[in-house]
Amino acid sequence: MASRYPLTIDNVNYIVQLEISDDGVFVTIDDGEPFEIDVTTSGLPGLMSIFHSESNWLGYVVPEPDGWRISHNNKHFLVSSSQSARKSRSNAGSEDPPGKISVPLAGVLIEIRVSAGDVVKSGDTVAVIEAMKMQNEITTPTDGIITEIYLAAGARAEKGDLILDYEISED
Amino acid sequence: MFKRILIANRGEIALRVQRTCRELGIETVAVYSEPDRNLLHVRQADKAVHIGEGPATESYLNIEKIIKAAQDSGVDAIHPGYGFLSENADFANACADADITFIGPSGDAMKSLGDKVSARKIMEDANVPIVPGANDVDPADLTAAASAADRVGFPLLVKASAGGGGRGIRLVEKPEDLENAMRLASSEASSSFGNATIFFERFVSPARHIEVQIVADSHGNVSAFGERECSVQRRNQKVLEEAPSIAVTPAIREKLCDAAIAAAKGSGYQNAGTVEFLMDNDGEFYFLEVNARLQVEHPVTELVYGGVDLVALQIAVAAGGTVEDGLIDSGPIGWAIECRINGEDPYENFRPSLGLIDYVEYPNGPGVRFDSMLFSGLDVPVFYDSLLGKLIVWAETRDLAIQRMQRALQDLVISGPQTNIPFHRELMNNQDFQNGDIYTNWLENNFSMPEATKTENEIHLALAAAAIASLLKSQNMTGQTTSVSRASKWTAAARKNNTQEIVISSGESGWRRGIR
Repeated sequence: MASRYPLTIDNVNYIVQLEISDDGVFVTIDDGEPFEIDVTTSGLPGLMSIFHSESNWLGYVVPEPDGWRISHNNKHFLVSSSQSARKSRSNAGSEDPPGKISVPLAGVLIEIRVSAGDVVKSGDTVAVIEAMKMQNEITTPTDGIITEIYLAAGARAEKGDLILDYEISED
Repeated sequence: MFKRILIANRGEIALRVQRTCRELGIETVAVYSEPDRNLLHVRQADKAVHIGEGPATESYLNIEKIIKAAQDSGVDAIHPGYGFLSENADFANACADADITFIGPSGDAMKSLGDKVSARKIMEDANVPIVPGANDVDPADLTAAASAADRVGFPLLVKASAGGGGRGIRLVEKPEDLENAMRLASSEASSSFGNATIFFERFVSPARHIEVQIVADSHGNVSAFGERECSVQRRNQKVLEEAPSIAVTPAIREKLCDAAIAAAKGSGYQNAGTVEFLMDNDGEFYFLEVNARLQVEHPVTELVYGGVDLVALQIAVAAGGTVEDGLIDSGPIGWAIECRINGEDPYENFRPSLGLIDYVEYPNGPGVRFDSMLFSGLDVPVFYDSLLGKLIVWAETRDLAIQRMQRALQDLVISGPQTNIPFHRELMNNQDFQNGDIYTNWLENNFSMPEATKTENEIHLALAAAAIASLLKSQNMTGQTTSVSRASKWTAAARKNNTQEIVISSGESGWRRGIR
């Protein structure tokens, strides 16, 4: 039985082939040499142990909307299915689309410094979020005019929650 | 001796205090906020009292609720841990009013020493050298503040008088940044400590952060347990501590301890405390502040002073016991290092990283101690600081302690949120750190975290794991039984998981539950 999985790590695409037979489990990555792995999962959902070349790899595999998040050796690997072509929601910080500012990390919004209609310059602080007892200022990346505000001071916010829309000033 | 003690704290320090109490045969009462209901300190207490919602002001900072919990559970004493109410004079006084022993200094001593501005004045009077600065800055009077800042000179530190743990401190390089720094320091201090008073201090640089552990009894004796070095700091927050200091000779140690003892005696201090100094390359030191509580980094002192239990000493002196007067000469023996394991991403400028701890493996073996709140399945709440645990090692020399820490950091596995373990691994391999060339601004100026590296082998195995996970998932979805020929290699548990997947749904109360 062979199965083929197009997968992506750090924006690099790979074709991963699993070949399972009486001889064992073999993995082929792209056009490389097949290598054998011996894999078990444990009673702890997500925990996976792989033997390869006589050394043991332990990882914790968590499903994500378009793939898997794997922690191994205190590092994270985001593995997405290549079909879902768009970049996965990586851990690489929130990159807001132009004209939108969202919450960069979970916490409590303790201050909103602007209101709709305000003119802001690049680097202005629009809101302050407190997480882990540290206050972090959220700034505008470009000049613009605030058009709409979605969250209020005091609100508990999750990473990615939209704070406000603004119109980018052409100049 | 006390029969029952309430521990007014959470996380690893609540566990630390609890362990000593249990060894001494003292019953413990835990308090907890809503999102903390599943924490270890709650489970391991003889009795646990729910005191409110997640925000600290509604729970761990709420004096009324904690005193009520103490009275209702009939405790003799309260241990405050560090942070929260540990240096709050009103809380110490409220304990006294309720006829409950506060395990710490008196409210008065705390007020005069815990408040940094008044502590500076006391040390000035006692001829202990202090860092040049300006006391009592009014955040509302910008003109006066600007001229005070000019007298101190730039760069300077804006500090909250009530600050601690690196919070409420801002470095100001040039005059135009002063206003913003004052506002942030003051508002951070006001939200964290309920007191917005700030002061300025000259930025002494390069300097080492050296501190002396003291324990004072109620009969006028003060013990000094040598120094700790906490120069490795990020944003004025200690990330690694060691004892002793590579820069402290026996002669300097004696001078430091004498100064610390004088400071304690001069202010009528009782119980455990820490006198912090900045020390330059000539071994000259300046008083910085007194931390009127047990410190996060107290274990490194415990390990080089023959395993002395500082919490047990705190309890003993609070109950009227005595300690030796003067510099304790049974140490330091060997070397101890502590790495603070925080839920923060070193690859993303140390931004907080919280959430469900999927899986933990504790380090172990000779000379290793891990004081931690972690267990597999813990959902780390967002309301409190990012300290998940403290990895502490002891060895005969500093070099051997570094080797041991490198080994222990390899043994520690935390799956779930990103932690700063990769940062500590880099630090242990750093030449300056290994040489002991460390200053309070060293980390920020001379150390940069390398990009996350993934070896080809790691990527290949992650891909293989993802492919296997995809295969298991697809079999589950089509209802097929597993057709893997070497099924014997797969554990029964794995097959069970294949059909019964635990669903991780993020509940706001912190515990995640559900079986599909």
